[in-house]
Amino acid sequence: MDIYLRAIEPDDYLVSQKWRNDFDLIKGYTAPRYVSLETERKWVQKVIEENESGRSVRVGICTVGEDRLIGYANLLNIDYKNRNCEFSIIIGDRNYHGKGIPAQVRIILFRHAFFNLGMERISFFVLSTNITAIIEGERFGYVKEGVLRKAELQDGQLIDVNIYSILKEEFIEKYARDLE
Amino acid sequence: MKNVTEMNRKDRVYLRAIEPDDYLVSQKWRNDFDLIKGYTAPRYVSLEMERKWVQKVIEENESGRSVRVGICTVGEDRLIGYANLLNIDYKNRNCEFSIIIGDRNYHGKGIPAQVRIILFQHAFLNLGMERVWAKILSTNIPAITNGERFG
Repeated sequence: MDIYLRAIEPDDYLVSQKWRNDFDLIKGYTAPRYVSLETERKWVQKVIEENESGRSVRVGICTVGEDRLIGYANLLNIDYKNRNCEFSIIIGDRNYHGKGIPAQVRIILFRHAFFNLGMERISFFVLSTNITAIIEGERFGYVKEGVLRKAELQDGQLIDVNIYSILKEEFIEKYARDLE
Repeated sequence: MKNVTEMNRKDRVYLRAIEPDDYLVSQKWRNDFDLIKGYTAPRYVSLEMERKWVQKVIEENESGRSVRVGICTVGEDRLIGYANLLNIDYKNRNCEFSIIIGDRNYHGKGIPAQVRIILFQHAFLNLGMERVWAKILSTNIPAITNGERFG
């Protein structure tokens, strides 16, 4: 499955509002909420302004050929002085789960972060209950830095959140072939 | 006579966030004085007032102070009422529940009980509430009977 990344556009809210209201999906990331089309529309507007300011890079993940928007990937809290940022991703379209898409996205977006934005470190938070994401992330090459204990509410319980990171040198070493 | 599953399907509901155009439907409920009397003192409400109210409600939802959702029928996607978690107090972990079934065709079908199960689950599990309370006019006998049966 080939994908590409592109900047978020105003009309993307029509697609992503459906993901927000898929509570079983959202539970893997955070506590779900009811989100109206109007709220999602305003959120996308805000995100576009944030992209313009350089504080974040939020992109849509699209399929090659059909140009279908299937998820978002983000570099957040971009700190140019200390050269680090936070990565997050959601594959909202369930038809594209289990196809190794997050790994592809990371290679494209981390390359952008390390080589175009000058980052040295990218961090990633994962709920300790999201086993798929943890296995997938460790296979990718993230190093576990620690645990934020009882940091997020899920199904009425406060659960642990794991923090991972990857450094520029680790990324280059592991993905030298993909970077040629 | 319809079989039970068909009846269930027709009467099944889902919840969704309130949208700007919902005022077109709910303004009619506000002006149904016999209906409103069950909840509060009725007033004359213009489309413009209701439109502004819905705008305000959407912002309130975004702030996290309340969760106001529309109750819709499965299949027809018809908006038949609103349900709300209000005065959400994250520190003391409680909030107030209220509900209105504005479309009279859907009265007496056990819809409030269905809504409570969906929305209370959201309140207790996703918002971390420990207590959800409701106030009912002492004259609203169906709501009292119904609420006590619920628990």
